[in-house]
Amino acid sequence: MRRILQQEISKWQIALVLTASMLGMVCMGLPMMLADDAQQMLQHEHRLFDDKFLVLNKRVSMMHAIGLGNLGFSANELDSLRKVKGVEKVGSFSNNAFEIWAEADFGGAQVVRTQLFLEAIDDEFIDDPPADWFWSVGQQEVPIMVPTDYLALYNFGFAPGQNLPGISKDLAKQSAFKLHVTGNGKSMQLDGRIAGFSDRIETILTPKSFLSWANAQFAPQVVDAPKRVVVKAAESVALQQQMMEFGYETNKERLQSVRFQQLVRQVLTSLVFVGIVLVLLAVGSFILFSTLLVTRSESRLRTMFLLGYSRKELAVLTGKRVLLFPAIAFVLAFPSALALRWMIVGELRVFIGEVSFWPGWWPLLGMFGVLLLFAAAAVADMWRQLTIIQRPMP
Amino acid sequence: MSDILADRILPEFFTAVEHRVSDVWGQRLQFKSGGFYALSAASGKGKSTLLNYIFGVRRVPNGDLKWNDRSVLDMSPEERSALRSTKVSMVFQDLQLFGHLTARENIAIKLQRTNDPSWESVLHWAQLLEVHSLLDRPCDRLSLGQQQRVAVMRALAQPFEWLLMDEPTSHLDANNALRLMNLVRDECSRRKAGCIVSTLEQKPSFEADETVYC
Repeated sequence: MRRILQQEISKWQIALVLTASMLGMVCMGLPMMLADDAQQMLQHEHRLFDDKFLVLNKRVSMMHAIGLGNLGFSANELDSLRKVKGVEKVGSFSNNAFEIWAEADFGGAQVVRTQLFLEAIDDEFIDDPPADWFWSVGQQEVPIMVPTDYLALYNFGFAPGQNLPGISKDLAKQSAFKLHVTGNGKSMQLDGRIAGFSDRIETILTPKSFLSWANAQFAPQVVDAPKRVVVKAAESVALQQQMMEFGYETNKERLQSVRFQQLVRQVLTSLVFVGIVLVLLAVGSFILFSTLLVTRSESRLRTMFLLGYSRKELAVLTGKRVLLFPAIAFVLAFPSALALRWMIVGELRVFIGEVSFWPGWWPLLGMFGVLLLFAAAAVADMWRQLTIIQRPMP
Repeated sequence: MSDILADRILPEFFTAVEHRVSDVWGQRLQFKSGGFYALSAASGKGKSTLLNYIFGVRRVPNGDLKWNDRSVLDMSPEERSALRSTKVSMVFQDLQLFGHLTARENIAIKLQRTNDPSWESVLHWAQLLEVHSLLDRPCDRLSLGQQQRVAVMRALAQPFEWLLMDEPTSHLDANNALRLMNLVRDECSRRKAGCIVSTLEQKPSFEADETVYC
């Protein structure tokens, strides 16, 4: 039975249809895979785009420069923030109201001494708080978290200029320094230790318990409104716009990252759209191929009708031949898309971290959907043509 | 077993003058089951047209054509296919063989659907018609006469109540034509099937129960 239709298509036509079908599926599947990877990447809390937390402060103006105006957030303002759509939690930074110095001894002769500031925030707003991130009254050692950027500043800015050695995160955690706290007519020396690094919060953090105790001891009269707040929010550009309307400032890089996310999404959405267009074109050309195959076999198929074969039997006979192409195209397209995805992801791995070997389910389902679309289009077109062929002639 | 009734069919290409002198066109013509009919006329008088109406290749333009009181106009495509599978078989004037397939493959296309009759019977017919040595040759490498015999064997290679043959011996010599028609008559008798054979001969060279003039 196969031999009846065998002579109707050349190897070139087969190669062309296979290539077009495969390219269509790859163009559809690859952006879907990348979009899926990007979605996972963007949703991951500790990846490049950490936008669930926004650190806000009021814009400093000339009025503040001359000592007028208040940079602190009032209770009403904090309530308003909590009511903004998309805001899940609001945390207030507290800061030291006393004088504090840090002193590090780099091998006896070289002593680095610097005035310090400390801030504290509830632990739930800190990315990966260390296991020993606590302080209780009487404890000599005070854990401190510094922004990862500070270490970079030290290694690539301060240390070379002072002829000091660069230090790694692990080494920094092992280095000891003294904290001199002064205020309210008292002074005290404590041991400082870098307990960890934060990618999220750009300040020098200490446990809230320590800062509350130290402020009470060394600056009892000062109860200041928080000058900076951190907002945990569902990712939302609208939220950020709202913050801007309030006159609050946030990390511009974060805003850029949101724009970048939007750009990534738009690019991937566009790619998926282009993929869909290409798939539709591929489906169109595939229907033309199917039409060509049936048209070229028309006299033979008509003879088969005359020999008693039914439309259904001939649809199965022709369909097996026609549908073989998208099936082969799918088998070729999936590993091709997977390989291309790995090439692209491999280039971006340094930025986006590890990505699982297999893509998510929906790109695979999407490609399978395209296969079904090919099959449905071909079967519908074939059935239509067979219906025409089998009609009695006038 | 089915009777066939061609009821007042008038092909559009016929003029009124021509159809007056015909036994077929515009008349009620009944083919009784098991009968052996010759359909005689000169070229262009509508022999093939009538066979094609009966077989369902062409649409009946007016009047009606009935199989046991069932109009072909009411039949679905699937019913027509079923009719051609089990009730009616045809030898086409242009034979409709697949030239790139062998004679054996051409016959198998039909035979494999029902396996009735058996391959042994087909081989026996090939012996009788002297084409047994040609069965594995592609049909486009057979002479027209040989192809005609293969087409008849293919038509016989299925169950049927009616066999329609459109000038089946036009390319055969008298001896081969006689052998072929004897085989057809024997097969129709054995199956109690009817047969309609179109011929250009005014007086058919084969024996028929009735001759109808188009």
